[in-house]
Amino acid sequence: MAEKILFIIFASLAVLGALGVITRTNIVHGLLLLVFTFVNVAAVFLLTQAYFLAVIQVLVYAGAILVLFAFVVMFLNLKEFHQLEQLHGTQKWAVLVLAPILLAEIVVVVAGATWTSVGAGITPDAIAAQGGNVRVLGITLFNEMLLPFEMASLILLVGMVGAIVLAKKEDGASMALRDWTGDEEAAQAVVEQEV
Amino acid sequence: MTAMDLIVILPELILVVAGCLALVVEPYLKKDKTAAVTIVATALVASGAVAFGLAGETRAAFGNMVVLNDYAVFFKVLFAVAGVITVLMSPRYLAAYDRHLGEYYALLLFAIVGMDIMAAARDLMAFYVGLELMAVSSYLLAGFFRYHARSNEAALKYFLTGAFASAITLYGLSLVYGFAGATNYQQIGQALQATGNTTAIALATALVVVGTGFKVSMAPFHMWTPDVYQGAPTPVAGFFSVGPKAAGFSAILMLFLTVLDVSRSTWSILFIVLAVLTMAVGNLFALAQKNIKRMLAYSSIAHVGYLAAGLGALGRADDDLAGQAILLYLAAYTFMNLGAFAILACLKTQDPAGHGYTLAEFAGLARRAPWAAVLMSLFMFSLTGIPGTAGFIGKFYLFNAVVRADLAWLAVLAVIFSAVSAYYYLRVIMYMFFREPEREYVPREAIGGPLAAALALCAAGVIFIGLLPGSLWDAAVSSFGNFFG
Repeated sequence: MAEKILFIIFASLAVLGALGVITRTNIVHGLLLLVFTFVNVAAVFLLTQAYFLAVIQVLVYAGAILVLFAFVVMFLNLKEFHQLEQLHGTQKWAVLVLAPILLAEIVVVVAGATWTSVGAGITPDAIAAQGGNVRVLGITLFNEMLLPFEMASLILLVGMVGAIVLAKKEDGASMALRDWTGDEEAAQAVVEQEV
Repeated sequence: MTAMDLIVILPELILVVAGCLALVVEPYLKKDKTAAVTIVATALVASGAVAFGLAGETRAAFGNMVVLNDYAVFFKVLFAVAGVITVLMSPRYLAAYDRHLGEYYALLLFAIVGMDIMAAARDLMAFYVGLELMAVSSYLLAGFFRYHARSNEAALKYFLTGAFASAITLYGLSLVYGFAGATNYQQIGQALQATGNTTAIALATALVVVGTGFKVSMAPFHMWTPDVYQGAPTPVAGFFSVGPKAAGFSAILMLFLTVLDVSRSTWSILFIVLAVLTMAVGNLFALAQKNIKRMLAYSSIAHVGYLAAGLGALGRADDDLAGQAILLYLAAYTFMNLGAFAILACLKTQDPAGHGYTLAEFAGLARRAPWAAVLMSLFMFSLTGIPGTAGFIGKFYLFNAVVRADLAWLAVLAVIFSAVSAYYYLRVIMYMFFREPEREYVPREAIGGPLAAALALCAAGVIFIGLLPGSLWDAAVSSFGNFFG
């Protein structure tokens, strides 16, 4: 009973938050409401005993993806977003058609996936017998898939090193392309220079 | 995971540790990066030596995800050699551009780790992460000169086309996974034998051919190659022309012979068509190039065309002759092409602001820099395929295998295109020895040190393979065909 009450509380907060995201004209408010929604969805995942999904929800969505959004907002210096003025009239009608189609697609895919996995013997009981989702996923990830997993971490390391190499501020960066802007001839010389 | 599993990936572990070490020591080094270069070169030698020492036995690890057999060893040693030569080419060149950073060497090592995994992978998951590790590192290396517009252009073009190629390959592989329900090469091969060569599998085959064709720059998917090679730092361009290409071929051979063996008839036809196109495009466009770096890029496309003819022959023949010839060709090609790029790096290092790789600037080089001219001639002769050099041996075995596969017309076409290629290779020699320079050149100090060592290695490789190909051919024969045993 307590679970049901908690579910209703968190789920309705998530829906209210999501509604807030798309109705606020202040981008920063929308962003904060998005975090709020993500955290509530994570709570719903916790209530359904999908602990791994809950953790991922917080780490990836409320953490990484939100930071990305915040960066975009800061980069573009967005403050207000007036949806009605910035949307083309025809887009509104397209939404009326496309949104139900998208909803139908999601329902079909989720129902279909559930149907086939139940057919293949992957039921909640079977997963529980294996020790739960987290355990099964962890065993797969750190046994069968250990090598690709570690290689993926190496790819991330390369990405970080690359970001530093390409973006680090250096002393005496007089060769920087931006310093040539304004002087067209010099800029052209840089473009044509062989390396 | 057991200790045994770690032995199988020991060559890669050495490289990863050395790459991280290079990153860690970099902040403590001032102008002199000798420590980083030493660490990296030693690690590459050690990696190649360890791989060579582990040859002769097949060891599987990580639940049959990677193996270390003679085939993987052949490529790991080849990549280590290409890596050592590239590392030796780099220090003076990078210093001339004020971009001599330890990160460069670390990225190079990580790219080689990815290539090693591609050659050793026996599972689509491992193959794909290896491919991406190589690719991401390569994009960064192409754009390493961040203050140069051409380098930025190269990185962007390489990244976009590379990402498309990866996506197309991945789509083909996802279809394969859908039909076979497994990611292990051997299991997929067995599962697909049961279904036979259906239209859907032919479609998946075509997608994988296109995606991997992009990666090794087969025409008509070669558009990015000249721009990327021209814009990338010269040692990096040299590395791109041999390393990732050889890694691509190692993966192509594995994928098509084990995973997609069932669609042999489809992919052999596709590769024959691509071979004809690639040889034509590479050779004919190379004729028109006045920029030697671009000319070498088109010439590398032409060489991929010859190799693609070998792939087509492999699909048609019952024996492994073409596959063994491809391995031999890749090894020969590594030395001669890296050598040619090392000469370019040498000339550019002497005159970073003035040298523009144009043909005119090679005029009279024999008098200004006799050693550079002699070595460049050797590499050009070898790329043409003059007897006594590595290039001749490679072409001889490869075209022979093509003839044996009842594709005599294709071999004749390849020989004709090789004759065409003589024009643009020998033109460089003609300019160096028989043309008067158009302007006065300030005498430059000869480039010694690591670059000279790189040139010596390439020249020794070209002559050794050219005169005594026996041991390399034996290695290629014992490496090929023993994929799972």
